[in-house]
Amino acid sequence: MNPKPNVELAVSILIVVLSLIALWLATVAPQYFADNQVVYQGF
Amino acid sequence: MRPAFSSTRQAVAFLVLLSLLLLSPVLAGKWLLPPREEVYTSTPLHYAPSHYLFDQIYREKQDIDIAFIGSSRIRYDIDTPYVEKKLSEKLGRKAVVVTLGWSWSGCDALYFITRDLLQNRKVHLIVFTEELYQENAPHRAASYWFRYGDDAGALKDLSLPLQSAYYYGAVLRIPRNLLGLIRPNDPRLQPIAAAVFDHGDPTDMLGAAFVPFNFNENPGTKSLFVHYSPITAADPDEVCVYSKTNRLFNFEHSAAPLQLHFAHEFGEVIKRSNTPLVYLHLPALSEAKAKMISEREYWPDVVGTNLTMFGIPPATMFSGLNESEIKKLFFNPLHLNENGQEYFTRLITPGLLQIYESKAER
Repeated sequence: MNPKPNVELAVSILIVVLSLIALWLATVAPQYFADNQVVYQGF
Repeated sequence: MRPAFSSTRQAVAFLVLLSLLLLSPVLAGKWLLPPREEVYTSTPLHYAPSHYLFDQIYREKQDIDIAFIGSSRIRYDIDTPYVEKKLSEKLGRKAVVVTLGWSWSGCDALYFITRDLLQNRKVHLIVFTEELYQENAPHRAASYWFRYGDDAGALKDLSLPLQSAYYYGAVLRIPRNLLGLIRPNDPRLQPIAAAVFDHGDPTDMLGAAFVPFNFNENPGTKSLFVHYSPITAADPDEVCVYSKTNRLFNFEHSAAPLQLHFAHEFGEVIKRSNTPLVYLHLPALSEAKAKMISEREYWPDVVGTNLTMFGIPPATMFSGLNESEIKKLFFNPLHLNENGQEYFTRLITPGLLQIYESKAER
């Protein structure tokens, strides 16, 4: 039995799940910190 | 359709990268955070006079007699050098009075900054103010003051969207924190940027702001400021301390859950340090005719510790003044200008010094 399809499936599912979490964080959370007065000061 | 990844290995590499980014605050923990003072040397000055906060929290060592803590309103409304002068006269020694304020309101800011202060300085009396906005959201600079490794425990009991907002803020700050670990910020650079304070460096004013601006005047304009000392019937004796028998306070019970949560955390910090606490009501233009002092919440319940609430009923403070005369005391509807600051501070200082005498630890 070739395990590769299972690995690919698992990796694909994890990428989708983490991408959705990242998308959620990037769309919901920034509204709290939105500030059009912020001047980027670099690092 | 062309696949997103040319091989499983490439997909795994992307997965690892995504995981590292999302988990970076957890992986960094406390070990990959720079010293806490870096919070203050890296917070932009339009959020707070952070160089002054840094000096007061981490550089100065002597006990503080009175610390005024709160949003910008406390910086604009209290003439800190005047209070220091009067307290020095009373004590017969040089008193230490400071104002630690920041821009915009939020109990999370109140909690983070008070906690840092009390971990480093002994304070004999804290006088705070907070509008308790109904906004159920972190302070817009919370991503600077909140660090997951230090503060994850403070989020317990908050809703998942709010926890995720703070977590997102921690993700945003990871590059800055890692850089601060390698190359600390030079706190001497912040005062150079103090030119952003168009009404003077707060360091020279013990953290307060003296604003010689007429009502709703753009700070950039140069119109002649009208000095005005109101003549009213208001007397320092009319400053009142809340008690169950006087009927001069009114409570709306309308604060947002996040504000209540961090007000409680603030109270825990106060309890641990056993610091006497005073809540000061600050005047707003919209309530100028109100006969009672209106607060969103009954503060001893919200903070969970004993405190003294005091203020002056707005109608008493502005008695005998018409609308245009009242406006001469304000810079905008929520902040007093230099006229109002002088008038208000002189009204409340005798009562405040009495509270200091009765409550402050020596």
